[in-house]
Amino acid sequence: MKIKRTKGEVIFGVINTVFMVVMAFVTLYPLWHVLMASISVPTRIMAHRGLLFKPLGLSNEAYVQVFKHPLLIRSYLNTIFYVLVGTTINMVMTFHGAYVLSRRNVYFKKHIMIMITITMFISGGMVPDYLLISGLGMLNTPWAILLPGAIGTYNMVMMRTYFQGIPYELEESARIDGATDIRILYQIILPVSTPIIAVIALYYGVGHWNSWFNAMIYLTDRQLFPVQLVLREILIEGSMDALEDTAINSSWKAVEETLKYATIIVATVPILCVYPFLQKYFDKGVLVGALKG
Amino acid sequence: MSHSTWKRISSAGLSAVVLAGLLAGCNSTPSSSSQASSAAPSNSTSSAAGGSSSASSEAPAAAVPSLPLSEPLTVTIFSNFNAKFVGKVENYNDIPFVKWWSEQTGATIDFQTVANEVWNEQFGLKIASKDLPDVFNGVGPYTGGDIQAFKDGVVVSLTPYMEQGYMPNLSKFYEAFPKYADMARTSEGDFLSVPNIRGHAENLNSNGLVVRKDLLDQAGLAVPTTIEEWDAALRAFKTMGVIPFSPRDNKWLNTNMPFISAWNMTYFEYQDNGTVKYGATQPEFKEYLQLMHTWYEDGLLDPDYLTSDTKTITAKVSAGLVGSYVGAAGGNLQNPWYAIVEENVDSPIEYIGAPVPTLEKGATPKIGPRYDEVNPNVGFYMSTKCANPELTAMVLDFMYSEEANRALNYGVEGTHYKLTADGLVDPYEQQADGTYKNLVESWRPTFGDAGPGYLVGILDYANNTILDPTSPKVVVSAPVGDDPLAKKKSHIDTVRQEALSLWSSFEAVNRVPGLNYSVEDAQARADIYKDIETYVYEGVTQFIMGQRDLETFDAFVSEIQAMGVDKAMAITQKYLDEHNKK
Amino acid sequence: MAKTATPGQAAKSESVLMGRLKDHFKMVRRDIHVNKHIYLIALPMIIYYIVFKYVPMYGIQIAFKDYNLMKGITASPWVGLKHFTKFVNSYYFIRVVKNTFLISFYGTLFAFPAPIIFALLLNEIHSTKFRRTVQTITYMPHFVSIVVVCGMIHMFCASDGFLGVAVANLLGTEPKNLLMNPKYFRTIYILSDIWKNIGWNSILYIAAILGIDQAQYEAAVIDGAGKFAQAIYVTIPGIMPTVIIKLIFRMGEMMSVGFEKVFLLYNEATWPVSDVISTYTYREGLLNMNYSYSAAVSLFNTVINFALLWTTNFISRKVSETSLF
Repeated sequence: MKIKRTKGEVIFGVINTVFMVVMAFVTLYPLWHVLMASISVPTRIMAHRGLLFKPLGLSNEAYVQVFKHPLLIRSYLNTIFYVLVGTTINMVMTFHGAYVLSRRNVYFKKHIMIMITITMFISGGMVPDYLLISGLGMLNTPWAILLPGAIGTYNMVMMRTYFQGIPYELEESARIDGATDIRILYQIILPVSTPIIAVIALYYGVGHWNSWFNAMIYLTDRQLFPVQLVLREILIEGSMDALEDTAINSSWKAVEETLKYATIIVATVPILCVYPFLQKYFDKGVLVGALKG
Repeated sequence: MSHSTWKRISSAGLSAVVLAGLLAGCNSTPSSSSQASSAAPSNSTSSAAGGSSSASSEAPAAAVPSLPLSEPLTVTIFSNFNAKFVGKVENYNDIPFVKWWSEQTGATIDFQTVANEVWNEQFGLKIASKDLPDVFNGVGPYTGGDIQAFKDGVVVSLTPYMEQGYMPNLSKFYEAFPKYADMARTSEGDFLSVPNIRGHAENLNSNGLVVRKDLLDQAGLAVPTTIEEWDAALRAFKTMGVIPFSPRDNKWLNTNMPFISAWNMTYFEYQDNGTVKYGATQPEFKEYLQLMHTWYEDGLLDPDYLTSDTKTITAKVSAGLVGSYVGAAGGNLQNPWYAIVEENVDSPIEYIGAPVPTLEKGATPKIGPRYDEVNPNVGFYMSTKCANPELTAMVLDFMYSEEANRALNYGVEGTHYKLTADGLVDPYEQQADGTYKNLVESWRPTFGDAGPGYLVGILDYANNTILDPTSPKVVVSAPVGDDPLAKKKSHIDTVRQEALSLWSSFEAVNRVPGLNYSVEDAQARADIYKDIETYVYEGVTQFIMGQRDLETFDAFVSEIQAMGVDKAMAITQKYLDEHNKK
Repeated sequence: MAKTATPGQAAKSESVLMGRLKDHFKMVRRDIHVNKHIYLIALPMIIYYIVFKYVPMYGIQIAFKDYNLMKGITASPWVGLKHFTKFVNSYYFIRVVKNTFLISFYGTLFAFPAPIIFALLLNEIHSTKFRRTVQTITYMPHFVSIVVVCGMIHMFCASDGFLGVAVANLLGTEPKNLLMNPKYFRTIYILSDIWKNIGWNSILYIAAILGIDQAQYEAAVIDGAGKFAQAIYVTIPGIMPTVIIKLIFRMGEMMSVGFEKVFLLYNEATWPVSDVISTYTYREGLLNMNYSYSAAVSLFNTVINFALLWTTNFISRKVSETSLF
């Protein structure tokens, strides 16, 4: 049925569209700047101040420098492994956990909820965490990356909120037919949860992609390093500042400036490509027809 | 730790037992588990300055083995990874010099490095999990520094090993240079490390004022040496359309003291003929503030200076927008200038180092930025879990021998350099394509030019004449040929060397040197100063920018005094007096 | 009833108590039986939290000790509230707490609703392709490192940066560096926060909007509601639970203003408003490896955060159906 749009709605539509275009440009700028800088001639970037819309000359020196690192490819593979396996573990744990927390008439739900909320605030600190991982024999293994963060409480709560928003009528008919909690989870809840599953999987995936701290603390075998760790090495960030001001010798490559930008591109572009794939789960009308009949 | 490392350490322990058996009369306890017993002898010697070890009542060990060691020994060294090596080597163990060191001593040197960023955390975790290496390369992350590390039983005192003859080179060095011995010794008389000593004046500083020579020439001015001359130069620069002076933030103005040093003081502690004083509470400080305020108002200071960092300044400098700034001889003096000439080799832009300004013409400055000669908390420290402390001490001591020093800085003669007829070190070898390769770079990769640099934080003898006055002083620069760019760059190198000399050409007598505070005193002093420093930096900013009227300077001083500055200065005074007595 | 209990009545009230307890246990047992699948599913989650979160919690005692790495946690001496006292008695304590709170508060006021409104507006875009493209672009700044973004902010706000010049033109003054003006610090901080995160933060709300039952929209249309009314009566209530939960969490982060961004943007001129707890304690240099002191400061923040969270949760429970617990 075609809905007639009022004049107000049309004007709103135009303004909204313009607004979105502006937002797109404004938010595109940072990454664009970085991309342009990464392919520019290093010495010219060094002297550049102000906005950047086109590359200053063309040079691939920065990327050459990045890919020269012997561990780069290996660390990419490592990260892909951590992202895939890690996110799977995350989603399995979180999905089931959120389900439990979203059920009505579960006496201990509140207790569990408080228990896990507390953990968002109080933690033992780095040393006890390290001793635990060490004691469990997980030091220097991928488990040290995959297990400690298996559940992100925040993510789980968000999923719980979504589950709570699913109309009870959907469950009701299944319960009357005698379905157990387990069947309801997989046959009722799961199919209508694609949007939140996509979002939380994205959150976890990005989290794994960007992580480096746990790896730095728990891994000594460089062959296990994730890509962010290797990129940080290449980048030589903040520590540079102190070292720059030291005595006579400092082999300087202007590349160091553009290197910063190249590593951001290398670190970021792959994960940016994930979102468009997930968008097809963001389709309207997930619940259309669920109640028919 | 991995199985193989464990095997190595336990086999080292086993050989140490055998060794101990051979060295009759030696009092070493080889087992790595008895931390208490290996710690006890050293701790009990700490009472008297250089006191004798209680366990060596007999004569020093009958047979101190000579290097290279005949029995296998592994020395694990925990270290941070100097960022300069990233991408060149994966581990310090791959550096040719380290392999040479292993060969010469007959020990397997095993560096366990972690990235700079997590040095603090990894350091703490290693100790918390009782997994100490044999040696620490630096104990900077440890709260309370090396003195606290010693008190807590993390590291051992080296004094007994020096006395028993296991560290002949270091002992000889301290005998020859008692002033360094005094600086290195703790207040209780222990030597804790094989130290990193900045022996040469030019290593004690790296920053100073840099000014545009071409603009000075245009204005018909000489390089400024007094505050008055600087005033004139900056005003001239303003008319030429550049930012006359572009400092980094206030902290930088203090640490590098480009102008405050003219009053022979800093913002914070300094000394005046042995009396500790506090700069911000002195009446002359008001004159300094007045000057900076005027400069700010008249547009002689970069209006964005508080948000400047090295990158921003480098950008402005390489774009030729700045008349003067505070530069690092290697970093942002050389780098942006290189960028300029690479863009345009005929660019008229010229930089030059300027001396520390004074109030009166011809006066000698009494203060300037300086590092401490004995680098605090840097160097090799033996842990209390060292598997074989005596032999490890020997291995570390080797770094202070003449051969090691020569090798560290220049490589092996014949392989990495040759001596010219004048006795200068020439590390350049002409390649097939006509360019010159610096052979030392692969030997001890640092960054670019010939010349020493940090390797393992242990030796920093630039153009060393400390240890061996006859060792070659000047290193030949790469032959430049006719390439105008190479010639220009060579000229730049000369300029920055001169700048560095200029900036370190005087004794900073008004500087309070690094003192070996006790842990409690260091803490008390730091506690008082931390908030005062915030207050001073904020106050200075407000005075300079005119947000606070200079009439209120007296209130400013009173507030600092109310915050307890005198108590902190008293602590410093106490240690300074002791230091001066020596 | 009787003011003092006679023995008979005491026995009676005791048995009432016992009766109530028995009923309680019966209820719990029944609950476990009815929900046995639920509890079974919950088991891995509970084990996870116990092992990875609660087991290491003993570490929190170092805030009350002088933790010495060599001695270990147990053998380190107790010092009670020494570290807390030191922190609270700092010269700038009140100021940094106030700054932390204000930045969080204004952040919540402006940066919290922004992604919600953005999601709502995005929802009104008809063209799927355009909508998806905008979504994909707007979330990109989230991935650009904060160091780079702050470098850009520095550039824009400099006296010759386009924002510095624009503001000067607006006010009719000479261009000045905006970051050196304490009055602008919070604004710059919050606006750049929105810039960087609006796209990313809106994703959750977009998912929530998609979870709204389409039937409700159809019903609203039948009732004659236009776009605007639909948004108010269907969409917004539909995402309210998500908004409320997020808000509760946000209140639980009030004292946790991140270190890195403030550190990159602040300077001596703005310290009076920009110096927050994390930057202040960092500058003191006492955090480095001083585990006890940083644990104490951390615990201090945590207690306040938790109290705020609890309060917000309580209010939310009374006022709406949604709450954390």
